[in-house]
Amino acid sequence: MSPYLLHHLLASTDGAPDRVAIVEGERTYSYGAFRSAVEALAGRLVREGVARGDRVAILLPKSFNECVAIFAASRVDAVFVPINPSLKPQQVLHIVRDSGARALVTLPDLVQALDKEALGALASLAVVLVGEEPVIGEKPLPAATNIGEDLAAILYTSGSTGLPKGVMLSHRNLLAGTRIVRTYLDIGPEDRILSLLPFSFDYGLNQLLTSVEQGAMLVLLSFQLGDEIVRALDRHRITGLAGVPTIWAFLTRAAPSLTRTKLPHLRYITNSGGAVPSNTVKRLRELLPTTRVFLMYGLTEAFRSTYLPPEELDRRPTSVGKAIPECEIFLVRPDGERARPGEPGILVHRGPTVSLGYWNRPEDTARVLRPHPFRPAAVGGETVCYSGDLAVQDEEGFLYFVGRDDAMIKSAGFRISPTEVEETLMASGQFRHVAVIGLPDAWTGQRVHAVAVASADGIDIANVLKQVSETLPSYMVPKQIELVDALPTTPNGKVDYKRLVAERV
Amino acid sequence: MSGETETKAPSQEAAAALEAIRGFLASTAPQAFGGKVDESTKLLANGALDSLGILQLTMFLGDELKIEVTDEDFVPENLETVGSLVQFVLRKQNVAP
Repeated sequence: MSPYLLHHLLASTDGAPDRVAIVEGERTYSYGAFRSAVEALAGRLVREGVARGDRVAILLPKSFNECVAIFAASRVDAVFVPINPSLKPQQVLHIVRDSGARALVTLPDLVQALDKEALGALASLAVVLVGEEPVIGEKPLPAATNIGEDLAAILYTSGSTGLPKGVMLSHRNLLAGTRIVRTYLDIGPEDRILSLLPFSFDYGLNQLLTSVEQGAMLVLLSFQLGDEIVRALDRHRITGLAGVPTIWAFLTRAAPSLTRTKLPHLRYITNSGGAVPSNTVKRLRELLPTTRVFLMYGLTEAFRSTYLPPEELDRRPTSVGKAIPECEIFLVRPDGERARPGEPGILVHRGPTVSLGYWNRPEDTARVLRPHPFRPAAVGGETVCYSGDLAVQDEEGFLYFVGRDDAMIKSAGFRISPTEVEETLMASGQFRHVAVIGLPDAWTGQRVHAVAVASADGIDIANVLKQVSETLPSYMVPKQIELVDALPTTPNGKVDYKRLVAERV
Repeated sequence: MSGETETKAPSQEAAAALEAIRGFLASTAPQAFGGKVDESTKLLANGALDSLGILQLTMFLGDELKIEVTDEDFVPENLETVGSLVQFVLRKQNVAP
């Protein structure tokens, strides 16, 4: 049977239960152990009342248990909702509440940090603590009843406004993303992939899925210093590494051992989640002369859109390439016509990775998922994804990222909504107006910068930042709050974000 | 010419660096560094600062203390504790004993 549900991917190693699946620190887990752990946790979820279509929130550090929970949710026909543990309690609760989670799979100390009262108010929520109870003599679970069109995951991500929204992905979406990326990266059973990115991020999740699909080995790593990445690459003879611009900044500027370490096994590295500066790409290629560099582009709403074949890197170092296999990309001008080469347009994605939209947000969904602009439904036109990213295409069809159509900020691979940061700053009561923008930054791609009008003299900026740091995850906290007398506005009276940025670069 | 730094006692510089680092930790990671922060406070153990925190620290050292952190500086010896970070800052400012 061809796999059509996420957990079917685990069956590829049925005949090889001793193959290494996951490495976490000093511990190694085989595919056999992985499958048993998935069955055991699936049994617990059923006992907690999780039923078909229920959301299972997963709040765990990068770990074997997190991998298990993702597949266990699929095993019981549920929808997994991974939550990045670096989020603050307020954001965690937003995701648990917004997704209407039936269960929260977590660890005792992580649940400790959450607001008891707020959690208690979610009467139907079962808290499932992992690593507690040994499971013995379980009755086998019945087979899953979902089909490929059913929801498999909801991944929370930010837009240009408001709180994070949940992007709905079907099993078919996830399996297509897995198959497509595995194909162009040529991932096989002998690969050893290093996983640095969170599984709450579709790009990070893809390392887990491609690895499991191929029966390959995935090494999980949380790092603080660049040298820890180099050590893991060397020690586990890693063949594939996926990163965001910040990780390349770490490797090229903050990992002294990289110049002394040869990494002949490292077959490829991939970048997504923002553009890597050209000089960083150049340095990476000097440091990793035998490694192929894939620059890619994607957004959670369509999983992945483009990649630049490594052999094109010298000719078009700033291009994000062309459509990934099985997908088509075209650019649409503001007047709705297809952009000609050299003309900027909104990047539109069609193909099997187009998501099902935002959970419980039909209006937001309608803005992003729209009918095919040039082919009516009556003659087979389907729903396509409008990225909100402006791009241009050259004569040969290679794409170049121009900018966002809105004020969304991308920093260290995270999508940040300026309004979410602005609202938190305004809540301090110290400002009359605040505008939050992204400014170019060598380390994170964009740094979060606030321009504010104080409501009174003698404001204590350091104290405001401290307050804000208590409610926002660190990547959202402005690096600087700059006080001005007034914010520039557009002729319509809205804050002129483009001008604010232009005046500061 | 660094006539001014020569006349200042290193301990004054150390106190200033300690104060600046305290301010940074309190504002960027209040959960981990909300309590008393002194030279023995650990920065790396138990993930007190995560990779993003290290990154922010680097930017802070560059922006606020005008210290250029190079590749070779990213070793645990410089970042283990608040005290080792203060010593690192002083070495970079050329005022370490």
